[in-house]
Amino acid sequence: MNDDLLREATRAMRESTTDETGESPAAEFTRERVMRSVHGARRTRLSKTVVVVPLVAVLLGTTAAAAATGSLPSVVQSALQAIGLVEPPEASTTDPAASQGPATTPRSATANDLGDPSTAAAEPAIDPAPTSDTEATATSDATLPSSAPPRASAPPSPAASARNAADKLYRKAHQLHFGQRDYSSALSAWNAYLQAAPRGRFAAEAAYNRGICFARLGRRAEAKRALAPFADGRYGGYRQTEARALVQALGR
Amino acid sequence: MLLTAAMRPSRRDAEHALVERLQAADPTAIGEAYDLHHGAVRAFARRLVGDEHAAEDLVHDVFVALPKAVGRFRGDASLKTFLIAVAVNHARHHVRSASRRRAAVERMAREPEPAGGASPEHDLRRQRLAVALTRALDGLPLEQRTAFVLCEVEERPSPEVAAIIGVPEGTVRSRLFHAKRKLRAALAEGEFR
Repeated sequence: MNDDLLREATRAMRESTTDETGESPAAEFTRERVMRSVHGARRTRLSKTVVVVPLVAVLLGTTAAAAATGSLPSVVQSALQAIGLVEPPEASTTDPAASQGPATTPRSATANDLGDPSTAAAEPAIDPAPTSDTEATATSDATLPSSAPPRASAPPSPAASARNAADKLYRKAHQLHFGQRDYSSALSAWNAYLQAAPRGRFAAEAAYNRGICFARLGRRAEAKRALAPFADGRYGGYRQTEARALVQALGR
Repeated sequence: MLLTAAMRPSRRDAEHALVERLQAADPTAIGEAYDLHHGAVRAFARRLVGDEHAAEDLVHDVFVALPKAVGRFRGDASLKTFLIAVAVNHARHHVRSASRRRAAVERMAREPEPAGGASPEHDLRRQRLAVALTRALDGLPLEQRTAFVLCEVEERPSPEVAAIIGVPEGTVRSRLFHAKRKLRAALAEGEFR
């Protein structure tokens, strides 16, 4: 009895869903959907190939070239900045001439970066030194120079050795200033860096931070003297707005 | 007889050529495969899923997946059988959602009566039986459901079903046995006692 019922139901299902090879609106509609999906997938694959493959090739080529020339950290930094993962450049990746000259493109300062100079003037007891936001530093270790030689295969040239030594001094000063916040030692370290590389890659940054150290240590007159060139635009627009505000605050 | 024997190799050749074009990702080949086999795939989809709209979605998925899936086609079965195997592989999601939809409609007591009020009584009974079987199938695991539809509804031999599902024949028979036992019980409990 149950077997008969199951057989009957099975037959009913078979007959109600026959193998219709003819055209029906549903079949036509599904055919159109299939073809649209297939063409869409094909277009997506094609555009991926057209866009992604050249991008990957350029990326690989650039990385290889940067690795070969030893400028990989700078290239990585630029790429990260381009996609907005790190702060804009703060002179750490510019060459010596650019970092000292007016062509430097610093991050534009805002009132928030600086705090309110008028507030500092009204409350002379407040340390006029800026917050760490206004200090010229890269926010990531990626901006720090690597102390390792870029190419291990060839012996370093005298110029490269000097640059490595200067970079070590920079790293030390950076650590003292921003890591340990030991401004007295940091001041000595910035001085040592500037002595070793007066036109080095980070000279402008070091000179600015030297002024900040003076301000942090309460040596206002020296701080004003150190920051005045920035305020006067002798470093182009680099930190000019911040330096002006600081010099103004220090003068009161 | 002679004519049939002569046509077989040419049909095989045509299918072989079509498969080669599919493997070369020729979009027009997908259209041709659809025109040739959508009926069989749709019928299987409707039997397995038990819902026309979900069956159309499954048919769509099968033919969209075909360019990639055809890489696994070895030619030891027909393209139609291969397409059924692709449908089996893509069915899980569709069966589950169609089954859920039926259950929801049933709960809300809005399940439409099968069309055919003006049909003779035996036609109506047959349609109700098909609906009852679909509902009973919803209570089975997908593996048993697939085995039942392929073996009993589509009347395919168990070696072919084993090839489609990718399991030994013994497993197919075992799944079929359990499926039938449960379906008998489910139908016996329903309105057709």
